[in-house]
Amino acid sequence: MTPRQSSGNGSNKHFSRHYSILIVDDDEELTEMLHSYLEAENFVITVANESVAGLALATSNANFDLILLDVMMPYLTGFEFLKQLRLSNTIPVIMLTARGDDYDRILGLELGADDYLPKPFNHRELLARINAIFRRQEIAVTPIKSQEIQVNGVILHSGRQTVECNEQLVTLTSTEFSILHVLMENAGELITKELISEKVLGRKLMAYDRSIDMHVSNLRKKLAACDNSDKIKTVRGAGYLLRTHS
Amino acid sequence: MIFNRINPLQRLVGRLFLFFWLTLTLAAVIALFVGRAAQPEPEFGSPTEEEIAQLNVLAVRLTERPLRPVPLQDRIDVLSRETQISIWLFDVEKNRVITPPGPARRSAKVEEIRRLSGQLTPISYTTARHRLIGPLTLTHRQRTLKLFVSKPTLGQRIRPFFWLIPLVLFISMGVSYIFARSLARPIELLRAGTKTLARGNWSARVDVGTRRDEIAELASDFNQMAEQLARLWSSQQRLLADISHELRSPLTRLQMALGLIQQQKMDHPAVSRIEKEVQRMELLISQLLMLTKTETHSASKQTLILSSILSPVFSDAEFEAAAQGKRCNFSAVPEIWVTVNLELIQRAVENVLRNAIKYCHSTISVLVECTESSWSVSISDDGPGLVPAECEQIFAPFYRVSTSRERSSGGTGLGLAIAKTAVELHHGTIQATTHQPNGLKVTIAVPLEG
Repeated sequence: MTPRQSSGNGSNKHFSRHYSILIVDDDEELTEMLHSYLEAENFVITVANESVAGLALATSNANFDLILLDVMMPYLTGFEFLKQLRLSNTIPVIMLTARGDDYDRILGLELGADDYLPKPFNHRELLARINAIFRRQEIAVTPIKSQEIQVNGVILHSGRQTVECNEQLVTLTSTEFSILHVLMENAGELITKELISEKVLGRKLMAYDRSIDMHVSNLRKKLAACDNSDKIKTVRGAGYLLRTHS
Repeated sequence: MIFNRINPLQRLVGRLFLFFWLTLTLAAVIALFVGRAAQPEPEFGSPTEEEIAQLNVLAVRLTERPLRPVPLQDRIDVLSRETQISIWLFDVEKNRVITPPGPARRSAKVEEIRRLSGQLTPISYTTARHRLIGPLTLTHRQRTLKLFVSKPTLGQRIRPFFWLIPLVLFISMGVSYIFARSLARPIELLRAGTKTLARGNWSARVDVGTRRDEIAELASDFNQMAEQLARLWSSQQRLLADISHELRSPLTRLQMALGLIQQQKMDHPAVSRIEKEVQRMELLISQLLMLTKTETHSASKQTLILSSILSPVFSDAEFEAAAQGKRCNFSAVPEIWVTVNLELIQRAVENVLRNAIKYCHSTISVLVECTESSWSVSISDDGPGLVPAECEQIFAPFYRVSTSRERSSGGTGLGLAIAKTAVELHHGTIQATTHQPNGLKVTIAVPLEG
């Protein structure tokens, strides 16, 4: 076999390191192709065709940067996988859901998935979503950006990737963290969903896409668990804003 | 209105009850009449000694010469009252019957007396009601008179009829009601079961207790049918899920294989063609799944403010229209509360909106209205419109309107079918009409209670 050329779009060439991805899917033929495809895009790939083994890998010290998680798997479904993973871990997860099943998508996002991709998916779409997540991580670890923002009782350390609310530590997924970051940087201003989608998910907001709403709703729930006041205001049909005071 | 509601004939139990009650009552009344009519034939016989003696005593009393002349009728009246015996006289010359006082002047008895007056010696004539004894011939002021006495027939003087009527009515009422109820009650249970089943609750079963009759058999047949339906249902669901999963997997692999080809710069026009077809197939499968899912939805409904349902859909439509350089005009949404399944009703409005955006020339306008009992969304476009005959058919799955709205428009032919199914699940209506001067207007109307 000739050595595989790296992709021409080069979108991940400027990443500081080779990110490692864990693929958990019971479709062996698919994971084989995904493996070759993503490896050619300069990612380090680990494949688990069995979800229980996948969970063991994910919670081990292997330190993956991203998990591609299929929903429909025997023994341990993607949802249960995610639920157990989230007990200890905020590693970014992209759920591979069944297309047309809104319930799957919503449940996945509710359980703390960072993004979802309906199967069957286009390979460019997959790459775009993976890159969006890694780009976000790049920004987060860039030292100059490391700072502390404090608004209305919420303290966000962008360097440590932690959030405190009412002096309690709040565990957020990386998507939720990024959304909160955007809102806090522009506290008191209306942030449109289009902007959030572009900045956080790295893609244009599509019509009929409710994933931003889901992430914000999760974020709201987690903040409300520490402080009863509703910190995020919904501007119907437009976007969200973070209240500067309760 | 009110009469209709309380009209017992509207209900099976009322009809059965009235029918049985009337039948029982009628049967009782007829039995009473027949009983009275079927009384024994009149009987001739000889009077007893006692009766003869009584006749003689009366004859003597009548022929006694009074202190002053009194009309014969008066004497009979007096004597009848005194002796408590009903006394009859037949005046042979005048061919006239002199009757006792009181209401008993029946022509039938007069006739009987006329017939019997030819007898030479006293006889007895017994009918069901009375016993007539006579004649005893006597002469009074040169007139030949025949004397009769009549008395009620012993043991036959019961008049059960009048006080029996309310009793019969009352008892038959109770019996009929119990009977009607016992027939109608399991039918009501069956009906409730059928209704639950029709609403898509396959666990509906009917329990008619310890009955062993035809209705119980019907109930057990119903239960078997429900069982069978539930089985078919779940196997259909399983099949659908399997098909969708099985079709998605090869499509995903196909997409991934395409990715590998494109990654290696093997760009051939056929590759992008394959990609396009894969996407088309993908859309078709997901829409088909959505349609079957909507059809089988046992929608859980919630009460929401209308604008919270429609605003996100409208803003998405605006977004999509803007991307195609088209415009949307939305009317204000009335501030009302409606009961809907959020997901389904949004999908219905969304599909109609997308259809309108796709076919409009430049502008679509959306009008939201409400009445006392329902709300409606009318979506009009300024596109080519339809011939009226097609307005009904566009809601059928895979219906292709005309060459102008061909597959190249990118639709699967299922969007409006999904909308219709979703609206019908809310007991609403969806209608397409040609819109003046051109274009199509689709109106979704849904009851407030969903």
